[in-house]
Amino acid sequence: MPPARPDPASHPPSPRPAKTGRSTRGTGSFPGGFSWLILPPALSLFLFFVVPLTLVLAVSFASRGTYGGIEWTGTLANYTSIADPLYLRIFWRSLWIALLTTAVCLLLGFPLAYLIARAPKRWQAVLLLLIVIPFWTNFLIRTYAWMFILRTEGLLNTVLIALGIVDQPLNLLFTDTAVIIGLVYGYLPFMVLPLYAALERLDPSVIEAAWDLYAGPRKVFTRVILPLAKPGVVAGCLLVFIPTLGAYVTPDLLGGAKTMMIGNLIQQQYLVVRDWPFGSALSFVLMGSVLLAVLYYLKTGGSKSFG
Amino acid sequence: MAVDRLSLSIRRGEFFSLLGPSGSGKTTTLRLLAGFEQPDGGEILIEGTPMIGVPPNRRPVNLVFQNYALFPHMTVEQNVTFGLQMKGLPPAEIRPRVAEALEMVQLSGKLERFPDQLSGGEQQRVALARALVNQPAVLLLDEPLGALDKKLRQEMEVELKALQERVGITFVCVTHDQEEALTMSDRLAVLNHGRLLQVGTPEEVYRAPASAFVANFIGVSNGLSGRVQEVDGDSAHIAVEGIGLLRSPALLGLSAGRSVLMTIRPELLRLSGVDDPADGNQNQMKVRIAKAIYSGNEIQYLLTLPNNLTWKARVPNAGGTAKRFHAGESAYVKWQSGEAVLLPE
Repeated sequence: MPPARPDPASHPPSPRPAKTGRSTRGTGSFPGGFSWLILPPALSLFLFFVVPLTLVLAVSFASRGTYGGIEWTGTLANYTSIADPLYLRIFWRSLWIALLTTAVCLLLGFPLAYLIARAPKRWQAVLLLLIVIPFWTNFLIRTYAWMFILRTEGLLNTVLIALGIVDQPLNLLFTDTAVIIGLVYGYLPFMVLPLYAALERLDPSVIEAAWDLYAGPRKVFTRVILPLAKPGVVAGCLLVFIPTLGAYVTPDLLGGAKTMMIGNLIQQQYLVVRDWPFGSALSFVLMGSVLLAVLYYLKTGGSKSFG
Repeated sequence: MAVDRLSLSIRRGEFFSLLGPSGSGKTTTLRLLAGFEQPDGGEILIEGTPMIGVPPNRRPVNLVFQNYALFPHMTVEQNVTFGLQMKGLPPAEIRPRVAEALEMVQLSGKLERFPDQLSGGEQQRVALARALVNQPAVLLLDEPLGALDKKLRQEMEVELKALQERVGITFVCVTHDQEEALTMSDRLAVLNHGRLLQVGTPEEVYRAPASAFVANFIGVSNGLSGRVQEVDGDSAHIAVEGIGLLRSPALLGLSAGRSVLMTIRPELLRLSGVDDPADGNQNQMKVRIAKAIYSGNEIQYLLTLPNNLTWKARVPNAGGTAKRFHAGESAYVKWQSGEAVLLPE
């Protein structure tokens, strides 16, 4: 990925020599008649992505039958009923939790990725492995583990009381805080890995150059490190924000009945209320808002330079 | 230890080079001046101000990095502006200075380019402008010409020296290329294994190397070890095993019996097919030509001495006046005894 440009629109496109084959080669076909290689993935994408999505879209315009079936009425009622303040509040809370999770992941992940990228080469692989190791255990089991840590008689409260920091057990489980802790824990690697990839390529002498040119630590960070790490920041934020917005397991287990997110609402519509059309409409609104948020982010935050 | 007991004073406004092989401590010395490394002991003064404990951003020096270290996300103009901006100068003052600096390195037409849209030579000039625009007390250059091809390098040697004279800023330049150091410097220091071996003008160091290492590194590759047999005023007789007696200028305080290294530069040797009678001003040895390399303006000969050492001779190719020798032939190598340099061994 080329380094981010401050504002590509403000200077005229200059004649750049084509450096990579990518920019000169035609995009249409593989070389040497291997274009049939594209068929299996294209077919599976069509069968398992386009077709179900089309079905969900179609269902979202249907109505719920009396016993939970689907009646093809061709109505927009499912979409209009989302405007109910009850559902909007759930959307709003999901957005907040996802944004907060992304921000916390960025704040924790950046120094971590920076330290790994600046560690001696032979240590980097080990440290990255340590980041990825939690993935070897099932996400559900790890989330249950958090329940044991956070509940009233759980590990955290026991330790806090034993140390005399609190005298009453804290009410942690089944709160927004618990959900955010669980989401940050689960998605931090998705922030660290792209950040590491961006920071690892950062030439240390460029940082020294800024330091030599009278920039103090803060200016070195905002004017040089952050702009050069931006592709990693953008990728990491998207990789955390998108799945957390639709998160289902973590809010279900750690948030309890009080902290519902869109994911839980959709699950409830499909499996409990058996209102498939409304669940489908919710899914599409979620997808649409993610798409809009990402496009907006890439348009504004993605092309502006920091500092 | 990268640098040990180094004591140097560099004069205001001079072009000073630190010359040495890799691992000699020259880059560490430069980084000590820039503030990226801290010495375990000792002092660094820049314009009389102690620099120990002062971070790089508060030192009146700027470094031109070996790989230039241009900011890839900034245009040429933004790169050059950076230092003055960080110093907190008002934009009205920055703009003319940036324009002037870019004009000086002939990059006025490429303000809006990004570093990866420039050639290696242009990138180097941006790096120079980015540092010079701050008018530092000392400009530090780390192998400034190392990444350029040979032809461009030779042009830049002259250009860099001219630039330094024009701006009048003290340049401290690290290089492993003795030709570069000799061409550009007012004075130079030769380092090896973190120790300072010799400081002087290029001529002083070239004509009178202080040690065998300096002689070798600066390009005097021909040497013979021997023992002083007799000192006769300012001339010495050196006995060399397998060759005989050679004459050379005496060292101060030289006495008979001392081991010495006699060195002579390749371009001071002459080759002849004629065996001249012995003469007090000229040394002569019978050698075999091991190899003759034609390289345009001169012919380089590799000579096998009677004691099986190899010497190098460089004979100018001036219109075919000198006799050409070929590999395998015998010849007499001659040199003025006053032109040899004796080094204690």
